[in-house]
Amino acid sequence: MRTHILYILVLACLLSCRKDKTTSIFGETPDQRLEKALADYKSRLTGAAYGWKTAVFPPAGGGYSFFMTFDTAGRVTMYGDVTADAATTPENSTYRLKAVQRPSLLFDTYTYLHLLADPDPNVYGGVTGQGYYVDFEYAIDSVATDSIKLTGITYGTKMIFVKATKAEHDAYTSGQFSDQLTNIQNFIADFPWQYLQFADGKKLQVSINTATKNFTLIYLDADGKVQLLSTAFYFSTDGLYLQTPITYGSYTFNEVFWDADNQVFYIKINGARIDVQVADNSIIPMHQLLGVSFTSIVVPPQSIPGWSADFTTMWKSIAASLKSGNYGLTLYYTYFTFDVSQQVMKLDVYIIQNNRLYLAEYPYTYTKTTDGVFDFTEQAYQGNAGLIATDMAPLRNRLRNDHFTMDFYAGTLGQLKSVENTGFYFTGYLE
Amino acid sequence: MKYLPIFLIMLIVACSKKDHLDTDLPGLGGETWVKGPLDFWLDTNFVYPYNIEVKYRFDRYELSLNKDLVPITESQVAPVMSTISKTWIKPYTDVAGDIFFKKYCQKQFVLVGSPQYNTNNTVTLGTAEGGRKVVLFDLNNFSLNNKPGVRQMLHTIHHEFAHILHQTIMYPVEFKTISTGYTGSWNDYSLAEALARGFVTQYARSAPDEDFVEMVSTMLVEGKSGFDAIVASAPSDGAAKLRQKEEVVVRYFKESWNIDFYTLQTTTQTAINNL
Repeated sequence: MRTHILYILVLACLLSCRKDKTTSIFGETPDQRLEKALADYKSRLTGAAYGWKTAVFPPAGGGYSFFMTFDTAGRVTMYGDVTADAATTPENSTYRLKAVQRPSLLFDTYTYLHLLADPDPNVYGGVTGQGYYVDFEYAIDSVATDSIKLTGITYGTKMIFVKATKAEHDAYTSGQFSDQLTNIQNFIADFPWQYLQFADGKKLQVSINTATKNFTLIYLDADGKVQLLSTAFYFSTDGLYLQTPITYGSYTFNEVFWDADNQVFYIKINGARIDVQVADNSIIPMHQLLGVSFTSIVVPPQSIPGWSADFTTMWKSIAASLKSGNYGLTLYYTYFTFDVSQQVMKLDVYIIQNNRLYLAEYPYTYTKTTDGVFDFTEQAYQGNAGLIATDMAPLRNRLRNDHFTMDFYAGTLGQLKSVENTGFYFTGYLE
Repeated sequence: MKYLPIFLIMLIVACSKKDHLDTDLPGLGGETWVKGPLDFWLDTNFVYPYNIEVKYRFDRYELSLNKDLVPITESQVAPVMSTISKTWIKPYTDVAGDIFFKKYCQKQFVLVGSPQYNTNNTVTLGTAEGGRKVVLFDLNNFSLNNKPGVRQMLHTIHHEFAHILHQTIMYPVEFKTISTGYTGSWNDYSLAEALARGFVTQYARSAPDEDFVEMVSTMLVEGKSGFDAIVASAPSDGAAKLRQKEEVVVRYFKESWNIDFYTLQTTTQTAINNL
């Protein structure tokens, strides 16, 4: 027993307070290293002579580019392609480099970037309460000489800062970028039908949606089926930058350049320029795009361009007949909605009574020839459709008796034409 | 006693070394940034005179982590804060004095640009914690031309300040017995139902304390004419109760704080109307 106590005491002597100093293998404390890292990031951010360019791709689609310059006083100046204002007027606000969980870059007062994060749909659309699921607080992943990789803290939005060149800097600050954006949008509105043609001679329709920021190549495959190659894009100082490269056959490109002098888009394949060409009409016939880029032709109650005299007269008489009928109805929009897989077309007539909207639906089945000639067969209808069947008879008879073709009209409208009665045609908005 | 030498050795050896706790801990001492004109303006008008911190730079950890919110636009900070200064700070300091206000005012304002969207399809426009911190939302839509919006924001601030007052000196206990029907599910009942029972707002129904501060803030923010209109819109039984509550509030301010409530009300109204 005694020996045991002795051992314990000796052991206690040996162990007690052995003051060997713990030294960090890094030589500095974590706090010191963190502070150094933040200082390093700050000097990189503020050290870029011509600022940084970057972009985000929200999960729901589309792409948005930004150009930022950071100063040492904690202020950032920002441009972007998110709105026309963003491209024109720089917004000056605050940023902070802070160790949150990791060294992070926080845009802590409102900027153009926050438009995509704003939960209020009245500001810039998006999902109520969430916006576009885009971050404005980013953790810094890694840095290289010319770039900084970041990941959003809440939604994991990926962002890569790339040092801008003097030319890019000047394009934003001189207003050239903003002018180019306007130019491109006007050009697309003026020339809605554009195509690319490679060595195989096939015309690939180019569709650029500047609202959803989507770029699409549309073509017919060997079986005559419509194929789509689609990706999000953002506006760069060169034109459009695609989120993922588009590959057709052996051709791959991820940028669509804008030639401002010649007012034309072009791509580069292995350094060789291929212009995007302008066509008078859709390369892919409209009936092939049914169910692909639109499903409905929406005919308004008042006449729009592309209506024949016959149709205008008929439409007026239908409206008058509904008004003077038993129910005192006002004709509202009429939808020709196609379900391609079921070969069904629904004629949905919306009518208003006492400020309330009602629907009368007439279902049709249809067949379509390879040339795009439609033959409609009316099916049984019920409810409201039965109540105004007589009023709608002129249109129903046409649909039942005639064959129809469809084509684009003035770029954005769709036109249905009777084959038998060439004086009967009308247009509607495509949805 | 033969172990005595060993004990002595232990005493001598043990912990002979003294280390000074001089480790440098960078990053402690709060956040700093290069101050701009706005920061100086806030310092001059809120920090130095009243010790009120105005946090306009987004700080995730002041807010609900599960909500999507965006920061305030910098240019909105000054209009919002000067409105608060004119219609909350000024009336109280004028009527009740500087010392009273500095002692009891809430000490932190957190400004947020967007509304806070809740899962039940409502939005939150203001919250407060512990009588100390007030979070104001939807300030990017703040506009002096939108008087109902301005009043709504002020309502939150006056509401929270009244909480501080009654937590310091309790209001007369008779107030709690004027109306019956306090309920946690206050939002299930309409304003008309609340008014019929003598509650000035739907939320006033949630608890006597809330009832009291809703009375104070409604009377201050809507003014005498606005409050009279609310009373007039209530059924006679409810109206009588509202008048009874008004009497208690006025008496409480006089007896507990030596503040003439009607003077305070008029001063606040004049300030709001002159924005």
